[in-house]
Amino acid sequence: MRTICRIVLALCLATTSAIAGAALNVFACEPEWGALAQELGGDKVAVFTATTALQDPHRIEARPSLIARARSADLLVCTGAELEIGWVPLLLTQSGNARIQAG
Amino acid sequence: MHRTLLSAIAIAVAWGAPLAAHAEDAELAKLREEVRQLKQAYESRIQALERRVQEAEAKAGKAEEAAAQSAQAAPAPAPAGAAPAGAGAFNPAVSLILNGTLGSLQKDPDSYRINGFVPTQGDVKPPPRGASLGESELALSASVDRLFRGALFVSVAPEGGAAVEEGYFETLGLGHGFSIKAGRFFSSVGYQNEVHAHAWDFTDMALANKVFLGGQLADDGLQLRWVAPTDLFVELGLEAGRGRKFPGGPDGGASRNGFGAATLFAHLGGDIGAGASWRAGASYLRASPRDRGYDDLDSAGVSVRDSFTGRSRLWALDGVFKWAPEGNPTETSLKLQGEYFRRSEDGDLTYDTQAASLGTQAGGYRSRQSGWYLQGAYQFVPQWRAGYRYDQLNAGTTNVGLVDAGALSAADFPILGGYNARRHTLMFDWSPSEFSRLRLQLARDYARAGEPDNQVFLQYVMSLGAHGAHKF
Repeated sequence: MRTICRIVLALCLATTSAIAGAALNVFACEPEWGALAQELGGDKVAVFTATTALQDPHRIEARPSLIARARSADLLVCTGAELEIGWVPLLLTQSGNARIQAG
Repeated sequence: MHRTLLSAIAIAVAWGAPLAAHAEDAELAKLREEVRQLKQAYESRIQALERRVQEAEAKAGKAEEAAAQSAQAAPAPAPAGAAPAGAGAFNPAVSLILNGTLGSLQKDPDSYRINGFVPTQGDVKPPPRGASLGESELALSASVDRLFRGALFVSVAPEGGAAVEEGYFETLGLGHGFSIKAGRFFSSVGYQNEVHAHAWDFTDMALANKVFLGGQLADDGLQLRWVAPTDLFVELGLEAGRGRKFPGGPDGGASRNGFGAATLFAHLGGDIGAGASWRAGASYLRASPRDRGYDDLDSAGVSVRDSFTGRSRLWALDGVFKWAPEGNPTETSLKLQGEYFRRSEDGDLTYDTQAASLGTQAGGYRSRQSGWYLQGAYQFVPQWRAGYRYDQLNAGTTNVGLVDAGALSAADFPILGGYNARRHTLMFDWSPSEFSRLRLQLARDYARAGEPDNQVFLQYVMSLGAHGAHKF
């Protein structure tokens, strides 16, 4: 019983330390911001880029994979100025993530 | 002679030297004079500039004071002016959708019925014959504060009268993937039910949506949604509504003060490579209608009103797949979509509630029915798309207790007679921008038992003003 308790405690500590050392999730709208975030963050950030250089950011839709990634994001880096008006507002309302809301 | 010459030379030199010296002196004096004049000129210019700078500084000082004063004065009128500015400070995004059709139908759309299924009393008719203005839709949406966002969608009928299509508020960032929506909103049953009419790929709804959801189901109630923190999109949701819209009844549900309809839904979604994305969903809608009436013709040809009270359960599966080369839909794109519905209703069916024909009679009612549709739209050149949709309904089994007991005949419930409706629809549309669309739609509609209805529609959809994003 004691050994089991010790093993469970060790596992808990191990996972907590792993979570504490987890990277910051950055959701970048365009590859430029993704590259910038990666440069600034190094290995402390996990960057997800929503669009590729071959895509027109104005024509992108708020598809399920983007909603899922926005839900786990800690930081949202986008261009604004209504470039991503077709999808970023929808990501903010659909993801239920308080960390990336405006204001 | 030499002496004279020498002396002459000496005198000349002597004279020349002072002359030269004079000349030098004169030049020097001239230079000095010039320098003095230059100095004077520059000094005077510098003095003039300094004076100007001083004047400018004085003016700036005065201007600052004046600005400070006016800044103090400005907040005073600003609150007075802030009342109108404050209303605009909410800045609701307003948009107006205009749509109209030019229709040519073989059969009169006013007598449109889908055989095999209980009429929904909803907006299921195809667009009218000839030139007709369709429903105009006014949409207002804005953030309320950092916690909420609200939206109102009003549809203005062409003959006058406005109806609220959707009016709700939703939470922004409740945290941990949760969102709550409350008010009147399109239910998340299936996929197409949540899509506004101006964003449809075809001029009208699929037959399955018309028959099982009354066109589009928008009930008053609450919705709770949760997005899982996974890379694969997983969304679970629960809705509870008043139950006054089909498949609910006019009085809501069985309990007077409670919720008459509830929906459960789950969505999965993801990407396949850079170019393709998909979403699949499953939903369950349960309603308890009381006295849900509809009109039918009985065997004597008299129009009677029948009503159903009982329990209605609907299961729906939906899937949508979108593809574009490298995920960029500017040149070409493809969208495939399909839904499958299965409904079971159990309860009591009352014949002729107003005793217009053979007298009011009640009996049991049990029906198991299904329907599905599959549609695709392909953008083959920028701005042009072609689409095809196939609808199929299966009337399944409908047991009317009064008919089974022999009290009435099947001809007294003609609309419930077994008939499997289907329809083919072909469309071409041109969208020069995301705000305008012109569509040509051809349909061969077998919804009515008998001859098919050949329909041709030319439709325009115009968006004015700020237009929010559409869901995937």
